[in-house]
Amino acid sequence: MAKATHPDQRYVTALLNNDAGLIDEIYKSCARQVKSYICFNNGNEDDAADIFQEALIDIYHQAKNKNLQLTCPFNAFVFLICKRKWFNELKKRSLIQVTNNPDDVLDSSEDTFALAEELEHQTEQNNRFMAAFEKLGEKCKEIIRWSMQGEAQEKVAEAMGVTYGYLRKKKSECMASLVKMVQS
Amino acid sequence: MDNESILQASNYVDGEMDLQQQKDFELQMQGDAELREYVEQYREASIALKTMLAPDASLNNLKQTLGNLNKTHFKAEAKVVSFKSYTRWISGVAAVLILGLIVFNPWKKSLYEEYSTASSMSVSERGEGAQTNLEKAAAYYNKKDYAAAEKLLAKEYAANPNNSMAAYYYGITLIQDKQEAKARGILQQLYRGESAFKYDAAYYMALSYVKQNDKANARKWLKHVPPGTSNYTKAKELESKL
Repeated sequence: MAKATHPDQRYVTALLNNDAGLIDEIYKSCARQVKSYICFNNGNEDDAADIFQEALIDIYHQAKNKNLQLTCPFNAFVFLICKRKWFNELKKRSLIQVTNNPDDVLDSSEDTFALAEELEHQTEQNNRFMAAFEKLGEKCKEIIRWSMQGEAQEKVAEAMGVTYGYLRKKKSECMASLVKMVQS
Repeated sequence: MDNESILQASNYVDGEMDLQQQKDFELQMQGDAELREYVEQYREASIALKTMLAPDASLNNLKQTLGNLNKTHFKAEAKVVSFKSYTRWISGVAAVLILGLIVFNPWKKSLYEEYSTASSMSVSERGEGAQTNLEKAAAYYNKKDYAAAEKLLAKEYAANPNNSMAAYYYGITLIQDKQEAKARGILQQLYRGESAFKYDAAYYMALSYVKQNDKANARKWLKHVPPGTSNYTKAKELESKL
């Protein structure tokens, strides 16, 4: 059975609607904790600001594209995302050499953990697809970029000076290469 | 998978099929696990690319909001937790209340910034009248306008080299201004004396070396900060990081 959506879902909606008042509340209730955590773990305030902003943008994407339904408090969710992001960042900077963060399971409720896990998975997946996209040939990149502009395909074809049939065929081939790259 | 299926999957996910074509394709998928899987992957790829490539006005607006709030909640709030200790001392002219400071500011970039303990300067003079140079300097210093503070402190220090407060903060502004060697001349002299800033001066001698990445000299001067003085804990901590 699906779990009930948490009342803090309103903060997720606030990100979708760019509701500055509610987003300010998010900062008030979460920013300090994130800042302390990062600053006490080899980071500084700029790092904390970046990580916090990235986390909120990831939540925005997850809400928009994956219809995120919050089943835990927002601050616990955002804090866990930030922790995991920071942990990955430290790994990238080679400041720590651990394979997973032991705090996560202990500190978070099952729901928070699962939602953060899902979001992280989605973000990683987006990055993998983007990395594959960058490796495509110029023509493929152009077609895909155009296709993502939200215009009707007939218009895209016209703008690119190709036929609709060619555009669809070429796009399907480009996407097939992309999917293959990510799979391998 | 053949090219036709690839094209069909693409048309299906991208919404380029009419109703009948959709139904036919769904029927085809039912009996073809590989095709179903491919459609799912195509869908995931489309979501990812859309997330990253599609123009999104609401995302741009959100980023702007977040940028503004970041400034308010992160940068501007870069207050230090300050330990204020008052030391009253009397010089020829006035009794000056010294507000020493700080302590902990972990969210700074360099070690020098992180361990700079004197983040604010407080002057309280007896008597009334126009603002003194030292008070003006303190105002600039506290606004982190070290260049402006430096000019005033230079005058103050030149007029009265025995004013340890002026000397101490002048030294710090010089370090800020990349004149570490000149700063050290002043701080060293302060350390040799017996003012309230004796050990603060030693600590800042060390920091001036930290700033120039001269770890050996930094360590040497950190050892001149004895237990029981306000910067001792920081000095130990910093020493361990060098």
